[in-house]
Amino acid sequence: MKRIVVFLLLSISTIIYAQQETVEDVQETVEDVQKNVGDTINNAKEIISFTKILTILVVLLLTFGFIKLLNWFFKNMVKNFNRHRLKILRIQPVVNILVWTLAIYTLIMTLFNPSAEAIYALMGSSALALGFAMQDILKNVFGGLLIILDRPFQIGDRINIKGNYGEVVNIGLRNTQINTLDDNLVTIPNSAIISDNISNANSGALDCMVVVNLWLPLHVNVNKVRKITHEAAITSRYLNIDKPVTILFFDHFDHHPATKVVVKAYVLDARYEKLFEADVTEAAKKAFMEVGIYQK
Amino acid sequence: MLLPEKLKRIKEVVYKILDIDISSESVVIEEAKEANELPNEYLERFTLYPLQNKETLKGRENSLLSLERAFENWKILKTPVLVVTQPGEGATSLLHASTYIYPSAKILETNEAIDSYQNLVSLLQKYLQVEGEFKTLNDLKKEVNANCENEVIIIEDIERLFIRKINGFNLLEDFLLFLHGTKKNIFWVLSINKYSFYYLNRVKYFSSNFSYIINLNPIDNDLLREEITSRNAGYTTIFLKPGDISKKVEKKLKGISKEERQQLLEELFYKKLYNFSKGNISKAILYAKRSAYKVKEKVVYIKPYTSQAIEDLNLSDLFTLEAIFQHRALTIQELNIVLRNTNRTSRLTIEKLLEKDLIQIVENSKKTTTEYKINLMFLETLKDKLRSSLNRNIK
Repeated sequence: MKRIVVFLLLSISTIIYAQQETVEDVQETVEDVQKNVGDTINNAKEIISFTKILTILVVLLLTFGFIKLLNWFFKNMVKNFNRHRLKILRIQPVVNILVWTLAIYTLIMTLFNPSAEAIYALMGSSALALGFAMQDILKNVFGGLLIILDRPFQIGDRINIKGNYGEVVNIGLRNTQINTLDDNLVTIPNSAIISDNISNANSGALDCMVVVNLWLPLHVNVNKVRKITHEAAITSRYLNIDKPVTILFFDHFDHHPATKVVVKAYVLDARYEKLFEADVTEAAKKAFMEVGIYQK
Repeated sequence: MLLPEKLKRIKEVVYKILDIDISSESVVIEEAKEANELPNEYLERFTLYPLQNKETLKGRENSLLSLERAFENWKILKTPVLVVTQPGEGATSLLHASTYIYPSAKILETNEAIDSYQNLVSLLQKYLQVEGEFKTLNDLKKEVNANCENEVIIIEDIERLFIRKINGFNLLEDFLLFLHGTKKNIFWVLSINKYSFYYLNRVKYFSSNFSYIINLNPIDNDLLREEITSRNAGYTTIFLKPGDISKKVEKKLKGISKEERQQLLEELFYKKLYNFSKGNISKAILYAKRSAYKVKEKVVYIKPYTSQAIEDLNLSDLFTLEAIFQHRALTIQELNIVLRNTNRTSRLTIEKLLEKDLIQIVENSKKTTTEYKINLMFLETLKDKLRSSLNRNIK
């Protein structure tokens, strides 16, 4: 009996002691948590203060304004130095990206001054998060960087991509804009551009080759036609006279047998491509009518 | 380039970047109004006319020497010679003065475009003094080769033989064939406008027809000064402060005596004249004429001319100017043909360009139709415009 009573007493005292221990532990843990939360809040307050948020907003706004101002300078330079238009336009996206990078870098380094470990950790975790959440956007951004570095085309070039032919008017980080011959502004994501075939008509040059196709009866006097088409091209106001003019003949015997005359010449500015084509066609057609090749 | 000129250039570039209208900033002298007040006796001294002999021709010794050599070469190799020149450089004077080399030379001057085959045949027949009736150049060639020997024919402005249109080169090509066919018996001396030469060379390989080509060099600044001084002879010249003077020079002018000030202003005037004319004698004379501010008795006041800035020209204006450059001068009808324009469009463009003083009417009483040529005062500026806006490599 005595043994049983001692055992019970011992058990009760052990339970009471254990309970007291747990309460103390919990109290300690709660205190620790409270302290940690407080520290974290203080740290967060230090890192993201109202002043810093305001600074970030002001700097981003100023950068945006500065880029707009730069773009205005570029626009004026393009207008007043037409001969160097493409060279100027080529620099524009590179300068824009450099200005943004510089602004963001300066903001991070001056406001947060993160340690190397913090940067690596941030990069690692954000890469994982962004990789899932912003996969498409990142693809476009890297596509944009590739376009700027690899330069398959530049602003001002006449390209054909995914059936859209026109002048490249903007190369952004996410997408590229093309102004088509019908004056439509087509926006193509950069990721789509780098995975597709691109044909570039002028590759950074101001002029570009224009191919004019003329269809004539099979039995035409080839010498006469060659002279007329050659002179239609060399007398056009839009011709780049420093480059050669080539005249080619092809016979077609499909549905309607005909001779296809191909005039290959360079236009002085890629923007006048269609005007040149129309001018040559019009002049040649009038001359063909005069000599009786076309019926009046 | 002088420092003020450099600063002016930098200013122009900055203005372009900031898209500021240069014309609003430039000081424009009402030169027409001023010129009206100048006495005719003085203005006549600055009339442009071709010189006739070697003695009065200045700064062209090398070109004359080249013509002498070309003539000697022809005696052995039978090759024609081509003189490439800019408007106002004095090609007519050179060709006239060169007749001491070949006194029996006949000079074919035509102020009109030779627009038909028959026109060319009769003109050549007249100058070659060949009797008979010839329907083709080939017939004329046979006659010339049978009867002419050691003739010298000088033809100015050979660009008059072509017009920029389909079949517009036929006459020039026929003439070149005639030239090659007769060069054994005739020493041909031809002159061509630099811009026509540039165009014809690119589209028709024109220069390959000539193994001897003479390009006229700019005339020395000292000779230009001599020429202007001689035109002001008999007058006392007083140089006035230019409108666009720098503060530094203005300060300098204040601190010196009257004589030193005149010397400095005279130097300033000639520097501006050299820079404007770039060795072109006619441009230098016109500059001096426009700089004459006032004439009172036998005193002439000279204020350096400030050129007007050209307003923005649209594409149509530029193409019209280029066409005139290429043909030296064009009528409205010819312009319609060259630019494939309607008559109304051409007339409107011409009126606009006349208003801006960029082109001038060619003075020729014999002509029934009016021709338009580039105003020499804007030659360089317009060339720059064509180079930058039309992607042309005109030098």
